[in-house]
Amino acid sequence: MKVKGNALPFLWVRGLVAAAATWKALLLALALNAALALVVTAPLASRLHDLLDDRPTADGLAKGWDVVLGAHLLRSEPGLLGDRARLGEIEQGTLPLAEWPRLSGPLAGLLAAGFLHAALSALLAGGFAGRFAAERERGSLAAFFSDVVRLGLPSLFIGLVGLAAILGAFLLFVELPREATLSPDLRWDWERTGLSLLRLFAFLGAAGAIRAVVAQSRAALGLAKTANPVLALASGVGFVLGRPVKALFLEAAFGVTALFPLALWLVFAPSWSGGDWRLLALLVSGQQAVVLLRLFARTAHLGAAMAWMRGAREASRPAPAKIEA
Amino acid sequence: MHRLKALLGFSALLGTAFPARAIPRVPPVASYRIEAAWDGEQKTLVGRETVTFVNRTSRELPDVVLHLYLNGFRNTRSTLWRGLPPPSGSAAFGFCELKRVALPDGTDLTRRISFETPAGDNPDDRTLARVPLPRPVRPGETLVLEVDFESRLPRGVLRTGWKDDFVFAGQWFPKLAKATDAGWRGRPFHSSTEFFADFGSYDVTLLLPAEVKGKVAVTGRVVEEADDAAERVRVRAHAEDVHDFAFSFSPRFEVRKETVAPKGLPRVDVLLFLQPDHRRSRERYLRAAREGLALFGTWLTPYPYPVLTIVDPPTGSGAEAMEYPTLFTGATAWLSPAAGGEPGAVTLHELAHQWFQGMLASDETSEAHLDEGLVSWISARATTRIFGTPSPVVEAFGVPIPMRSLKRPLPEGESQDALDQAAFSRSDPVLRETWRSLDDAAVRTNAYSRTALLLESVARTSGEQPLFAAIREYARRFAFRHPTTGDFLGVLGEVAGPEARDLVERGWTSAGAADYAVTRASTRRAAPGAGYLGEGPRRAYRAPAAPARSFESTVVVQRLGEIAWPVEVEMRFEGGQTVTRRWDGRAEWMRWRITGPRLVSAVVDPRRTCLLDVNRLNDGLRTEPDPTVARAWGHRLRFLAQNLLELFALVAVLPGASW
Ligand SMILES: [Zn+2]
Repeated sequence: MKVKGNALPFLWVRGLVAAAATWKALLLALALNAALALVVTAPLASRLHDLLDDRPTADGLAKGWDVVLGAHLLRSEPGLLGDRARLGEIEQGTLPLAEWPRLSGPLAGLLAAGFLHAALSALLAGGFAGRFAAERERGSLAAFFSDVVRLGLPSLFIGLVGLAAILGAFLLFVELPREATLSPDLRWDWERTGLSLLRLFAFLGAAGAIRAVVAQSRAALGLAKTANPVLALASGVGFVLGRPVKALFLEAAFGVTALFPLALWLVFAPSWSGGDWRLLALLVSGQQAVVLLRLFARTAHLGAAMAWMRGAREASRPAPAKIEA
Repeated sequence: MHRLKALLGFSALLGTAFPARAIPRVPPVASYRIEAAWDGEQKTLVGRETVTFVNRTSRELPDVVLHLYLNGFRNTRSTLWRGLPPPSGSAAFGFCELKRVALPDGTDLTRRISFETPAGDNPDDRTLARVPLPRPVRPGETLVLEVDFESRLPRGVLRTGWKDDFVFAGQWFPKLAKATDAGWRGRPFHSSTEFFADFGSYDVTLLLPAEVKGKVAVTGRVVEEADDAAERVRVRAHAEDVHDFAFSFSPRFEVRKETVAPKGLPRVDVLLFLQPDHRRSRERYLRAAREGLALFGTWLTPYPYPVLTIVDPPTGSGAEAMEYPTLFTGATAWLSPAAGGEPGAVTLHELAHQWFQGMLASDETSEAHLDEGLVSWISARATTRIFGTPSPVVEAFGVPIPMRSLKRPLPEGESQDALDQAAFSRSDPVLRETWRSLDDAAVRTNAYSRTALLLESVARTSGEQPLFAAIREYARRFAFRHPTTGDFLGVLGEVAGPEARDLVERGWTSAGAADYAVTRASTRRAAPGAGYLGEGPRRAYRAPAAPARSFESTVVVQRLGEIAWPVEVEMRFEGGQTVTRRWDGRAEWMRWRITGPRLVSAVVDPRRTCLLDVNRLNDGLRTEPDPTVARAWGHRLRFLAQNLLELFALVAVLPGASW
């Protein structure tokens, strides 16, 4: 199937179509994600068995969280989730970015796994970029891996630059103005709410723009003859600067595509209380589908970025003159 | 009941005369006539007060002791400031200056003033002043003092001050300490303690900006409001049988008046002074006041005053959630969700103070639990009754989000800090004099949460009707009489019985925890007796045989905490049979051996009567592990982790970090 045109809906569809062709690699990414999640939660899960299996008084936690019982659990096992004091700050959203590396316990594990997962995803993104740029064998795993080898590190470099930029945006838009937007001196409550939301939207806007640059840079990487990440970044930045609104909309479109199934799941999926195995099988399949759709949407964004960049280049290239004829 | 009804009829005849009383009044001790003018530029109240003090103690008083509470904000050396954040600018400071203290005959006492530091720990504190008199005030005698003063209010903090054009004046005038048979009882202003004073009447005239005409909230009632020269309004307020006077004004207030007449109870005018950005909370404030007056009127005594004023302060004013006689402040925000239970819960809490702080007026500087604790318990009951069980609310980017799928049962859901304190800090028992407690956390957890949990536990153990009856009798008997912990325990023992009293005493005298744990639950097939059985010639040897069909089960419950509590132990057997045993909980451990079906599990306190138990998980033990709950959580955690990891791949930032 080939869809033409550079309008937003077309790009969206073209991204999805391109990503669908790489389904084998996507399943691999899902397996990586699931394995990492399994490993990172294993210590906590096994600790929970130690703490709860003998305790009929924990039955209130079967259906979901219980505010009072949960407080008792964390009091009896203060280190269960890591640093108890910092946990409160995370809940409040007041833990400074600089404190994150000092976390301990399962939270620190999650943070480390998060960075590992981000790095692996960036490597795989190199593979996806290579496949999307190729005309043939888009679904081939072998070709995908050779692209990972060829473009993985440059893609990781682009990802790191993006990560640094997003952390910078977080500091700039979320952390630094926090005190000011929550100041008790503001005259009206809606000023407080409005300014805080402004902080959020400024960050989301900046992060979206950075994400768009990352996607276009990886697209440029795939399309380029040499795997030079700096050149790719430059052309990604240039491309997004030339079409900032559309690039943001494209990013937002895939963001919604990724989060919509998750939101549906959170609202409608039943909770498993630990007993019914058939329900568990059903729920796990559903959950994997939800995560796969998120991976799919993220990859499709790259596919769309690629299609868009290629389309734009073709449109701007002068028609070849046939002098020799 | 009959007596109450007769009195109610009488007060109805009096109409709005002050106060509509169903409780015998006590003669005034400390009355004030104050005139003060507000300077909006300087944030000062300059005025004169005439204090009329009647010595109703049994001893001669050679001097008077005055509280100058605002001097707690005078500088960073005050005792109060030890509990405050560092100052943020000149607006953080305030003071209360005695300009002149004199007798009506003109005798000037100003030069005799000295400052008191009873604990001797801070000579720089200026919140307690002693004025020696030319001759002592004998029992039964009346002393009149003329006091000129200047008070500056700080930017709102710790219940008093201003924010923009909102002003809340609390603890703003020189005020007598409490006269007792042991002499004056006054404490320097501490950040973690409140107040203690004698009853009297207040006649207060205020000169305020003209723009706040009709928008002045006072203790008692505004009885006169007249335009004055230079764009000012002269507001006169009057209150009787109260021990403090606070007022608030703001041109932004939206004023609502509603007359509430609960069935069989006196009529009360409810005045609400609301911030325009808090309109969504208006009906919740009024509903809490309306239904709370009816509920507390039945649970305690009829509300003792004809007027009730609610001041809704702007967010960040520092005046939130504080009680004064006939007036209190609430706390809410623009988007406050109804599911969170606010401002219903805070309104009911402050309303309950009208009885415990306003009418009973126990010593909040030393026995805060008598006020805050009883209030926390009874208002938790009222909140649940009127508004249901609230949900927790998290705030992200200035938007409060109720977590509707979770519930925060009261008082447990808001009192877990008391159990943390009992488990980890153990710094102070409740009966430690409040101002001597280690820190604010100790005061907060002991006076509020621990006492609320304790009373709820007593209600569940010894019965809620006896506890309600005892608190009602306590309120009736000690209205306007400044009861002590001993008075409360006396009534409790008399009305609710010695067990209830004993339990409250246990909870109040220990800084530690209650913690019962099932430490053994085992079961095995019972074997018939073997060995040499029988005596003398009847002695016979029986070889060990195969176990029988029945089981021998052993359950051990240990008391791991300091506090002993009577508990039930429920043992569950195969086939659904349960056996329940009662234990007074006093010894270190208790063992039960039962022969019968196979034991499945044992749970101590299965009906959750002792809420002071710091670890509910160890309250039960199974004979065979059941991995269901942990498995369910493992499953939830994995999915959560998968999504967080994917988010990382997207932005490499955890979501929680963003608000
Ligand atoms: Zn209170």
